[in-house]
Amino acid sequence: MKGEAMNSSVHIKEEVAGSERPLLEIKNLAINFTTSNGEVNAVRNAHLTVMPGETVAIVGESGSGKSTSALAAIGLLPGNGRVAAGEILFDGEDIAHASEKRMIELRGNSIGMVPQDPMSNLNPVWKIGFQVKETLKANGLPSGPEDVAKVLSEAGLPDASRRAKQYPHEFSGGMRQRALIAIGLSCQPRLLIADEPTSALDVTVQRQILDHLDKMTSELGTAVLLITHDLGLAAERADKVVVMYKGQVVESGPSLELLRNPRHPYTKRLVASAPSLASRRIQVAKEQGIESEELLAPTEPVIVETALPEEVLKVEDLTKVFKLRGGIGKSTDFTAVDSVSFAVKRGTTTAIVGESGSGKSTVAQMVLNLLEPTSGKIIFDGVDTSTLNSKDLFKFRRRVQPIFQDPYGSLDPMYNIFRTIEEPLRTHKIGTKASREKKVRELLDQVALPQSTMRRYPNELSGGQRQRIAIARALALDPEVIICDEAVSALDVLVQAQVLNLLADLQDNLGLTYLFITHDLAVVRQIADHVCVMQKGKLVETGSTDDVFDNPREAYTQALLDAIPGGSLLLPPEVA
Amino acid sequence: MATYILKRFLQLIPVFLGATLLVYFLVFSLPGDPIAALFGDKPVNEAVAAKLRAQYNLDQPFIVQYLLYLKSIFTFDLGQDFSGRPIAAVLGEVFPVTARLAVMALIFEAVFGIAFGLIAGLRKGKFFDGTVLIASLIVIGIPIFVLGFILQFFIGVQLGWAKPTVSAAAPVQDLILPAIVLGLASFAYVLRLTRTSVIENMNADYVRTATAKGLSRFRVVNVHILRNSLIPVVTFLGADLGTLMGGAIVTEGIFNVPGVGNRLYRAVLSGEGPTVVSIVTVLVLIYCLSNLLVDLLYAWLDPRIRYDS
Amino acid sequence: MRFSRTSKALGVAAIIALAATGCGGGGSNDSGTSAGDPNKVIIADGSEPQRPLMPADINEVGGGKIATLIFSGLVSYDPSGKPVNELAESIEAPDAQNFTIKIKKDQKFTNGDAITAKTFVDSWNYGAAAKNAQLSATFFESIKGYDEASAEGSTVDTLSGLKVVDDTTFTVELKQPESDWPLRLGYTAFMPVPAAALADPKTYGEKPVGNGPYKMAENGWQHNVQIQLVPNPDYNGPRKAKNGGVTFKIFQNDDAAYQDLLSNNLDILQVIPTSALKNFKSDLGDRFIEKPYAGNQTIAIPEYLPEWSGEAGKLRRQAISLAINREEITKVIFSGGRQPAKDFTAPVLDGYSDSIPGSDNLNFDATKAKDLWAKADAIQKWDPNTAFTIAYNADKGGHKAWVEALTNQLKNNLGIKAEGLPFATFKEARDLATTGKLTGAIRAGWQADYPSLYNFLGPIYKTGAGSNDARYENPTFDKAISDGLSAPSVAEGNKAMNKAQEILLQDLPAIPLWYQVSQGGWSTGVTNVDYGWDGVPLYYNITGK
Repeated sequence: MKGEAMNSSVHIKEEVAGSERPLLEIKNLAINFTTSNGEVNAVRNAHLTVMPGETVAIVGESGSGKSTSALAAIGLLPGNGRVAAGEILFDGEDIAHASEKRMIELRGNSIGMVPQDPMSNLNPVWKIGFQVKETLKANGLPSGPEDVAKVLSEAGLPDASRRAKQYPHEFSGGMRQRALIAIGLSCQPRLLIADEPTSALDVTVQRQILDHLDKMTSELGTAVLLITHDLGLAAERADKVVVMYKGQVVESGPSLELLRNPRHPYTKRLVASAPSLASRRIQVAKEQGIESEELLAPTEPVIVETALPEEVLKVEDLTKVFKLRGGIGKSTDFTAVDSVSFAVKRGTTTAIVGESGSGKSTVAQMVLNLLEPTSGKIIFDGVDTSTLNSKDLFKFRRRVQPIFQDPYGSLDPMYNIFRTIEEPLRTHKIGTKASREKKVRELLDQVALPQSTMRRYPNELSGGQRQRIAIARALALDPEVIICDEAVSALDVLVQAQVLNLLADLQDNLGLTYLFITHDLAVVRQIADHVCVMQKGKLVETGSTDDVFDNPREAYTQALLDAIPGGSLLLPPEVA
Repeated sequence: MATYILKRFLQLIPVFLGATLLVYFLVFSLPGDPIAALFGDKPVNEAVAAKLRAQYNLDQPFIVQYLLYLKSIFTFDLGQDFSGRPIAAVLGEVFPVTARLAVMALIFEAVFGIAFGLIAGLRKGKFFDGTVLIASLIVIGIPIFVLGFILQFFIGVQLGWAKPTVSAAAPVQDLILPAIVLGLASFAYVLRLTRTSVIENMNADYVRTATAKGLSRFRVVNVHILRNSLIPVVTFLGADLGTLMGGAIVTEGIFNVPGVGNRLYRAVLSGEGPTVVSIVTVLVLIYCLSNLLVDLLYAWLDPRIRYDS
Repeated sequence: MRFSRTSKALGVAAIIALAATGCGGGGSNDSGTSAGDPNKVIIADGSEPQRPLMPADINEVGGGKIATLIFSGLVSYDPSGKPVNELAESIEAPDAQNFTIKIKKDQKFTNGDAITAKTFVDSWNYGAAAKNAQLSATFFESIKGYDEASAEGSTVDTLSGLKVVDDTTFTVELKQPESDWPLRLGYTAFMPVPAAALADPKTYGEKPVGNGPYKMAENGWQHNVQIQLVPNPDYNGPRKAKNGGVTFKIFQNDDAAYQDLLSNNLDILQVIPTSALKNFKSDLGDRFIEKPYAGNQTIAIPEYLPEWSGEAGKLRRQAISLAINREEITKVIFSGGRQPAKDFTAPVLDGYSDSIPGSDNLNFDATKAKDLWAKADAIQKWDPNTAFTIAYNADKGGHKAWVEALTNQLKNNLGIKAEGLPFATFKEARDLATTGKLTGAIRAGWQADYPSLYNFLGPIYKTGAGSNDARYENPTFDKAISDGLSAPSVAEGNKAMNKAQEILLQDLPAIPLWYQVSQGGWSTGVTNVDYGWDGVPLYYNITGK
């Protein structure tokens, strides 16, 4: 992707609303960070307008400057950042260089914030009620226990007065986010900045929270500046969408129109790659009777020799029970995986979908023989893996390889890329030094990375590049099955699309079988042949992707499908 | 929580028995005859020596001496030291003094260490931070007896701001200078620990959220940054109390504080088994209790920590 | 960022500094003002007495200092070591063996009890009997009946040689004539205690009742902290208190005491610590004293070691003695604070002579030393790989420096291997000596219990004597000593003692090094400081300025 093409034109479409003054107006904003390598221009030229009561979404990938621009509006740039140029007008007042005192006045009761990660944004040593109370007190509002309880219950927390006496770690993720929303809205600010408020949550919870946020903000008349990387979500929830790329606003306009007629090349690519939108398009296409073949990532089934069993991996009644230690001598059983059975056909992609706590990762670990099942069988290529002795187990490992979620954690920072990819070959004593080097070069080609990457270290690579290295490493032993445990969940949308394409290509060329673990149904739609839906350790539904998506049998599956953002958008069934 | 505390107290018993046995054995195996040494350079009067040995059970085998000592503990009669004084009385005299000294040192290191560490962390990289870091390195690097003598000489003798040695009753004002000397090295640690903790927590997400709520800077620092940063510091301080109690020997010597360190040192040199064991046992118990206190404090400070379930 | 906590912290620091300034400073008086003051309480340094304060149980300086001030016996010693009558009226013996002692009338303890002849006899009987386990019992060994009373496990608690005649007279029969026996009577062990104390030594050991120039203040003994003495108004002897009392502050560390002296928090420091020897004279100006006293330092070389016995041994000892440059050590290590020895006793004693025949064996003559060593080698070879060691205790007294200097001199002057052998504690080193297990020399020395030449010779060099670390056995010497003891007068006795020393100067069972010199200092608040023959300050004479 060439940089110049992105900067070729900037399309901004502003709505001219009557005589109302914009609540927030950002003009020509430039923000610089002072780093050890000199000044970095994080935001170069941002324009943005939010009218009172309006919801505006800023969409972009990591590094686009969307969070930075929004944080500048509330004066929360990190220590080494400063506004280099431009204006931030809040209700006509330029607050880009306002004094700290003025900002403290504005924060809370004029401009509120709901931050992204609910766990790290609440102080773990103070009770929830205390943290709400201090917000009310600091902004001059009544802060008695009833006031605190009222704020919390309005945000959707049941049993608020009891909950107020609890600590953050005693809340679930969804409850914590509600608490943060409660705090953000407690003083009824005129503008609420919501920084990826739901990206850390499960998809069903996400929906509830966003619905509730909509309700509250429309009741209070609060304008919302919603920051997100998910274009589908942005289009669904916001009146206006602003697209940022590399520190600049490249396009903005009313949400639906932007989706239907994206003008900037970058916007076009985003629209094409967003899984939620793609999924929606497929859905729409199906509704309109159009075949969905071209819309899917290519997955041609490999011609299989009949001598080999068609089911390369079979799981029967797999169960895993964990013992949680209680008091002295007591322990309770926690069933993470409850009698799960499914089969994976050679050369296909089977997805296991579920929310956090559903047991899908535990299943993956048992299949990889990293965790011992409490009961049940795992049959690989006709052989029960629990009967393998250590030598055979070693050979088994060559044929089944993992790719994990966190591209930053799965590569050893002390090893250079060559060593990382070579390691499996060395462990299994394959080939000579020279042949191994040749193989590493081949693998790098296969994952579309330059061979010079061999000498570099993980910290020099981006997330997407690291995940490609993880893929290369997984391929080193020429496995038959690759277990992808949330392999693309931590990647930006465009990179995610590239990696998924790569995986699809490899499947074509090498006849690989994938077991794909994910929480994102939208991704499943694009790449999986079969789907298994798990809830709380049990397998609730299984079938081909089409079947499950078109005719879900279980209510839970339906709920998951409904929760895909952008589900209510009216999109044309064309591929952009 | 109550069962946890009970469990910890029960654990003290084997610790106590083990410590006393070990110390008794060590003192017993020191070479030299303590009774003969009582006579100094003068001729040893054998009859008298025999009588003294019998009086202190020194003519018995080691294990008998140890059991007799244990028996004496349970009857609360800890025996006598070589000058005939009941050891319980000796302990009653020296421990309160050292306790005063240790608590004062602890207060000094806590208050100043945390305050300076907080400021240094908040102003990381600036002048105050740099100065404080270098100063703390110097303090940690210079041995305590050098610091003690220097301060005693300049502040006590030259400037006359404080008495160079502590007067008989060891009142609090006399103990200020010794407490500062005793607490100096720990003060430097507390300072650095607080500073690191503050720097880590300063950039925490919840601090940003707290600011976003509209809280004043003062409140953000005290309620959010400082409170969370205190957790590792408090655990250090708790453990330090035990160390200060037992380790004040050098400071007590320099300032002539009539405390545990001096008495213990003399008892070791003259081979007074029961005295050494009694003092060391009390120190061990104090150390265990202060550790328990620290663990409980830790759970109170950080609600994520629970000792049962 | 403004931050108000800085000012808060600074404020707290300021308050603490002010508080420290407010207290402290020169408050060295417990009572009274300081101008030319007979009521000033003198703050002196002391050490915790090792035993309860019963006179016959005290054998170290800490307790001894206190005891001499709160008790008064038959005689005391004037600054030059001459006995002066305290409670004694007369002490007579026609034959130096049967003494008749008359005491003054109407003497009382501070609790009102009368002091009679019976008091003395009872106190001495108590001190000598083994069943009372008094550390200084051996001081009564000359008295007839001592062996029975002091035998291990004995139940005899009276000495047959002591007889009460009437309220003010008692007789003492010695086992043999001893001309210097009257000289001993000023020693602490001979001081009387009330009958109640003999019945309840525990209580009276803590709160002693005596009859000396001072008495212990109410709750005056705070263990390990201080001992407070106030003047005894009933005392009428030669050592009347000229000040308002003495408080002995107990120090664990000499250097701390010195700092106190410099800031006038301490009025008199008995011994200047080793660390301050180089500069105390300039620190104190004219407020110091440097005076020899009745003590010496020697190194004892056991005769039971094969290389050190017989003729070869004798030659080697002389060689060692001649190879030591005493002048150099006393000048360099002690800054002149010691006096090179010329005999086995001490210069402040009556009868001392620095030119006893044979005393040139204590000079420095390296050539002669080498010569003698070679002669010894010819008789019996000295293994060149053996090191000549000098054992010493490292916990107190600062002996390391001079032992190392001495061994260096031997290395250079004799060409043999020599080194110090440190022991961690005093008791370890003494243990080897008393059990006869020394492997080399050991530092030794003597501090006079009472001012007599015999005190430096008999208890150390007589065959079988208690402090005979070298296990020296020479019947000729023994005879010379007992001849001296049975001499009719003290002067004749002294002459005989010096004759006995001639033998020692040839045999050298121990090698005398130097005489001890007291080095002490006092504050700007006191004057009239002098030390006695024993190196202890005369506390009763010190007055405020």
